[in-house]
Amino acid sequence: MRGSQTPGLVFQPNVYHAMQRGIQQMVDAIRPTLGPTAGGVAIDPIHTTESLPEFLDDGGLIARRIIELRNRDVDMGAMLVRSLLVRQSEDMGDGTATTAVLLEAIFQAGVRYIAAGGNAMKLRRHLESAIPNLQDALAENSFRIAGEEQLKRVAASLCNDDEMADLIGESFDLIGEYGRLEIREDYGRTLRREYVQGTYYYSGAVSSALFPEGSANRSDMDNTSVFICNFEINDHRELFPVLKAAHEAGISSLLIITTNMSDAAVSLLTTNNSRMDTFKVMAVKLPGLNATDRIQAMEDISLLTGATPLIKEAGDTLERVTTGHFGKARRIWVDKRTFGLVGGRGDKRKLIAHLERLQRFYHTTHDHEERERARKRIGNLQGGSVTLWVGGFTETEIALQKSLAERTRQAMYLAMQGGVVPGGGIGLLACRQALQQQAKSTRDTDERAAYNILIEALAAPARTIWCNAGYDPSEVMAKLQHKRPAIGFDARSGLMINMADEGIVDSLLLMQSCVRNAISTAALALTVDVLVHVSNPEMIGKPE
Amino acid sequence: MMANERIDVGVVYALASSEAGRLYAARATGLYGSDDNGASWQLVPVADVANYVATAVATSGNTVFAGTHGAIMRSEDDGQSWSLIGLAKPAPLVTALALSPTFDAAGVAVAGTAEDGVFVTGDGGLTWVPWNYGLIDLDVHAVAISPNFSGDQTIFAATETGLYRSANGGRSWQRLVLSTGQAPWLALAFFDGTLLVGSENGDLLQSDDLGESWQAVDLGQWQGKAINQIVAMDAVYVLAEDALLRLGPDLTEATRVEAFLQQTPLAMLPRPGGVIVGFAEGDLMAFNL
Repeated sequence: MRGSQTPGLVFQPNVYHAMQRGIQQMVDAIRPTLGPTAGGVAIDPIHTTESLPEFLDDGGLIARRIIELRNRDVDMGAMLVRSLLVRQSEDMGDGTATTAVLLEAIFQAGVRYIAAGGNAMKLRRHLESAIPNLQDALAENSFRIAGEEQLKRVAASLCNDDEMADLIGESFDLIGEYGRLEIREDYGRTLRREYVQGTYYYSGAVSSALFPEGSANRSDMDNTSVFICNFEINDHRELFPVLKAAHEAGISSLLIITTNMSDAAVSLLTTNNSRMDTFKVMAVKLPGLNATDRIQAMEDISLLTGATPLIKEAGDTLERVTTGHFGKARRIWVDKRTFGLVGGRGDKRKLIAHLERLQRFYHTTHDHEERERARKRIGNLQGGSVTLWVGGFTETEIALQKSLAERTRQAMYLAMQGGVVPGGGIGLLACRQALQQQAKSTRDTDERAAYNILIEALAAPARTIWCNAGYDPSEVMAKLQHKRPAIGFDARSGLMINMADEGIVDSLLLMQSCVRNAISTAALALTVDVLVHVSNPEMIGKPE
Repeated sequence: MMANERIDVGVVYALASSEAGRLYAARATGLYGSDDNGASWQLVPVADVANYVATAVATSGNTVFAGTHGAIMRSEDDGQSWSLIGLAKPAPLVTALALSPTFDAAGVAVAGTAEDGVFVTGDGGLTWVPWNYGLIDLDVHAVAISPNFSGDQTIFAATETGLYRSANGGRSWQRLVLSTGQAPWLALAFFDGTLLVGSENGDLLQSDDLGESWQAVDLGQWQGKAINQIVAMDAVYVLAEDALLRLGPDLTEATRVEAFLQQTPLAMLPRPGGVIVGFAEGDLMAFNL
């Protein structure tokens, strides 16, 4: 009955008190996950049938699991942080703990300043106006990464698992910044990687009956022609024009990519395959979960192979098939769940132009999903991919390892795309110098306060990392005062080292995102003066 | 300059010489060897293989590699005995071979193919693995390995639609964006650390920084003629479609050494005092320089 104990409107100073508590509680739940010696968080099982708690070390997932806090006022602050971290996790894949501790440090210091008479709106404006300067300062300290050894070191600093780092670093050396790295659960107990040649899709044969006898549900075809359409082929007679055109073109093996195929149509193909030694046909489903995916897959496959797709929406019919509709690939494989193409014979100049268009789109779009889709398409068209198989002794261990590998993969994409800055919080610490100069040069009290708040807050991630590793942050900070900016404290070894040289780095884009998200959210939260609880949650959905 | 030898036995795709001085010619009718500096050529018997086409040849010391359809032939005793190493199916046609400068120690070599990209060996040619990450165009015409390969791990592949560079020993490739567009690149060579590339359109480019930046080489009146091969000797020699050209020391001035009016030269090999040129029409001719 908590809802009824909370007034509908909450005013200052109760708003700040509640927001502080909510932000603090949420951030405290995620704080242990920051750094190379981070701890985990155990969460009650979601399903009552599960007996073991869920062990998490991913700030984004932890935030997602915290659905609400008991006190509705405090919950407001917590949910503000939650929504930010979930978005951060979805957009960037990582950086949630850094964002959380930054946000908390800025908000707490901001509240103190406002309580002492500062102007919240002005403070917000000055905090937000510092974001571009901070992002520039980060960029000035950034550098590009390349080469297997450097990539391995960077991966190691991101996942703190040497075996995983070796495999991920090696994989990224192969696939590059857009490449396709699949991460899958394995039945084995260790990590392993598999190189896959060519382009493949998660879409298999329309029927197991099409596989040759004794082939273990796999078909490999050389120098195969490719036909693509987005029709459902329901009547076997619809295939006649396709097969006739293939015969006219002298095709000896054909892959039909179609939305679906009836049993009768499949029977026609199996009959053909059993009777014809000189002409084999395989059919797979057009890849993609939705119309957009399917259209894009058709476009990509047609560019790869040189096939001209027949599109239902364009009024095409199978009766119009000619020999010119067929594309070709050097090698094709099909199994129950996937099919792949190697050495497509499409026009390479068109394919390169297509890749350049996708790359431009990737770098200019602000839509996260569209960007990811573009990256996957680029990666898939590069001619190869790597699959990392993640094993372990228990399901929990496998799930944790897989989650870690996925976050590392995402961070590696960002690191390769935008470069890296010294890690362990040192990249953020190095930005303080730029702010200190700006603080000195301004006469505006609120502006100076904003800079000072940020100067202090930028140390929060590093302090948290040191604290999580069992060191006294003040002591470490004092030692660092006399070191060069590139020097940082390695929380694992307890030594002062050159972070960049040792491969302890953070992605520039990730750090810029952390800074932007933390400051803008904290600045917004500082200007909240009233909380309004619109209804009693217990009443929602109850019958009258 | 004058031709002093002529044999007409199939298209000559490539030429090479071993440390002991034996010359090899990869031809449409097989691999030929010459022990008399090109005066006479004999078909090299390769294991039990008969009627094969040899499309590429490269040597290091007394180790000889020759490319054919679906396989690479390997000899460690200057062509006395051969082993045949099959490549992954469908059978690729080997179009180019290059051995690393430290091949004897590291065993790294690269083979370009007509439709299947690049195959790399790291064990002296006993096994060849296709590594084509990023190689959008698998139609490879030429390959070249950096003179400082042990340090920079850099390999170049010239393809039908562009030039590709690998900075990790041929395991993955990056397309280089050149001002000349997506021309078919046919020839690659290193001269004193400078990379030279020649295209079917007659563009000749040089790079002093492993492909990071490029400068065009002006071939004067021979600009626009397909460049089939580039060979670095005391100077750079460019085998254009109708002439053999020599570049000046600073790679700026081209002078014609020999004109080919009736035949298309495809391959060239330095020899004492001159070069041997192989033609599409099947001739092998020696020229004094």
